[in-house]
Amino acid sequence: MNLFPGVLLVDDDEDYLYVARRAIERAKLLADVRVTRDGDEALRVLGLRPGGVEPAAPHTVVVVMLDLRMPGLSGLDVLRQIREHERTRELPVVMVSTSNQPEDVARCYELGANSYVVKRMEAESPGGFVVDTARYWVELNQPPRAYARR
Amino acid sequence: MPVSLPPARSRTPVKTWPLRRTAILLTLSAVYFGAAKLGLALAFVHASATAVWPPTGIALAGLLLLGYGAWPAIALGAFVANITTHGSVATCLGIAAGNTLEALAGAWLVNRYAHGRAAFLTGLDAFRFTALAGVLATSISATFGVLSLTLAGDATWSRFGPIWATWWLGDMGGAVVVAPLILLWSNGPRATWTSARRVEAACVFVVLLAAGQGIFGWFAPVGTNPVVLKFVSMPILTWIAYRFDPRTAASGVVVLATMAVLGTLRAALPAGPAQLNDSLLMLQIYLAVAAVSTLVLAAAVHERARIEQALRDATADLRDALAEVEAFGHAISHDLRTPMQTALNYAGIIEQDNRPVLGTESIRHLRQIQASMTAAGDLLDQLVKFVWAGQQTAPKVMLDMTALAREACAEVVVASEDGGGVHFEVHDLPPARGNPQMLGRVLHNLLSNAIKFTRGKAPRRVVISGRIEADENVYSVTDTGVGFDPALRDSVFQPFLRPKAERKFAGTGLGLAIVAKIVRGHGGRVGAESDGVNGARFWFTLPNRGER
Repeated sequence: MNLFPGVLLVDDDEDYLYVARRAIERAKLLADVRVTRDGDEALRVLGLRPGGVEPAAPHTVVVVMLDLRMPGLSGLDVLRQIREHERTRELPVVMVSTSNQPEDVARCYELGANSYVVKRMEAESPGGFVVDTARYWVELNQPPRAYARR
Repeated sequence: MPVSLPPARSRTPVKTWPLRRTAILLTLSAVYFGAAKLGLALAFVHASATAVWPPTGIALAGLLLLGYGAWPAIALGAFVANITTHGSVATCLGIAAGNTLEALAGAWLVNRYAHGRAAFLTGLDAFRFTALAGVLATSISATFGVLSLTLAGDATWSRFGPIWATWWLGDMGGAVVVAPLILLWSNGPRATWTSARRVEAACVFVVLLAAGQGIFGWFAPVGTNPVVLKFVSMPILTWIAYRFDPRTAASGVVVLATMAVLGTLRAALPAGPAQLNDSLLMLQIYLAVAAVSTLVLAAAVHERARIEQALRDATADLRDALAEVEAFGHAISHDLRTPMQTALNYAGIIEQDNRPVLGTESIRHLRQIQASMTAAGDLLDQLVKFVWAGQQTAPKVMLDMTALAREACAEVVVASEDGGGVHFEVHDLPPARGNPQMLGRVLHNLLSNAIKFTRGKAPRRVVISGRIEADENVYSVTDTGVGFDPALRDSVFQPFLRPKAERKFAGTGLGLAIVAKIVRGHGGRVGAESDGVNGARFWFTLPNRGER
């Protein structure tokens, strides 16, 4: 049973998920990384939608790294639902996107994102920005409360 | 002028069934005959010569609309009208020939030089129509007609002048008053009127009828009016021409002409035929002037409205196209960036996992892949910004340029690896009107250039200053960098221009092009100066008067 702080990665790009998870493991970050391929699955993992997901052991997510553009539920849709639910209203959400359009950034903050990170091209350390971001939320940030799944 | 006109020439007549065409031609003949009889009823100088001759306009419009092949209808109508009024067969044949030739010549000239049936849709064509069909072609009929009468002994040579003048002026009146009405109503542009417009039209025609009564006494007798009173009609016709379409203007002219002829007949009948003919001649000149002025104005107004509409359409199309390109740019940028990132990441992973077994050569190749991918990503970024920089609809506000420059300094220092080693000096800058994101981008690009080109120089200093001039503010960014070849000062703002000497500096060659595009989009100018040794000065201006 893994009781490390949870990092929920939501992205439809399998390669990104692979690189991100690998980078976090290599960085020896003490985090329980959980990946989901779409918004619907992410909402199930967070317990905001019933069923379908293998019931996890007490799972404490301290940050959601949410892709902005996904087929089906978009990052903005997921963010909106997270903010609508009492239990996850204050859950830290970091939007992750290839877009650095001011309108995209503004829209995310309007809907209550805690941070916005542009997917960087990192030749030296693939997935380095994911590690940097996750490290801040896992190690430095004081979460508003524990998001235990009950 | 690249404005589309209706079919220019009526060489190809309207295609109709033979029976229907015959019916149309017979109708044309009949209408011509009726109008001719009406005109000949007002023949005072000679039984065959009248100052009021609407048939010229009917014939001209008939040939312009139906094609030259309709000429027999004109010839028939003219011959029958004359033979049933006065003169021998030979004389009437001569007159009919003149009338037909006049219409053929007029139609040909108008088709050739004045866009045929569309002649009253531009000011220039309306003028040409007047000169060619109104003045020139009508002299044919007058000459043929009066020669026929004189040669047959029906008129004396001494009367040739006055009869010719009456004939000619009567035809001219018909050409410039009647032909436009028929052409515009059968072929002119259709406009849909709002109810307010209909009320206005009704009002202006009531005013015209009232003025016509006051001037000519067409409805009830009035006392003798001074000639100058006739010009009261001009502002009313101008009103119609200016506010409505050419078709309505032509209608106004015909209403005025009808009132004028009726009123003149009523007033001058008691004075005898000679006096009446003179009055009608004067009237023809007045009507011709009024008709031409009104129709030319209406055509010019219509032309301008059409050009404005075309411009508006083109601008809207362009704006849509630009928005589409921008959206497309974003989509492409996102879709291209993802695979590029993936390739870059896997190249990095291969290196991380296999460093011990990879030779230096293979590592170098992997680095090459990474460098190319990174460069392609940067280029993609800049391309998207370049398209964005052309956006004309971005909202503009008054900007504190000093604050904007300070922000830009902080931004570029964070973004660069060595910006901390550069000394920035931001002077007080005059405020300007613009889009904050765009002008922020201008300063950002100029400053990051300055950081780039002061690399390896000492001291590294960048001064941002500004001043107010007559109608623009000038802002400049001066650095102590390597400068550029003075010969390139006019081309540094072109996209993708990267002088050989600059290749050692990273960049996509779009930074200054984006600067130029944004500044020009704001109504300003850009420039650069350098002696190639002691740094460079880049400047841009923004208008400080009025809304751009």
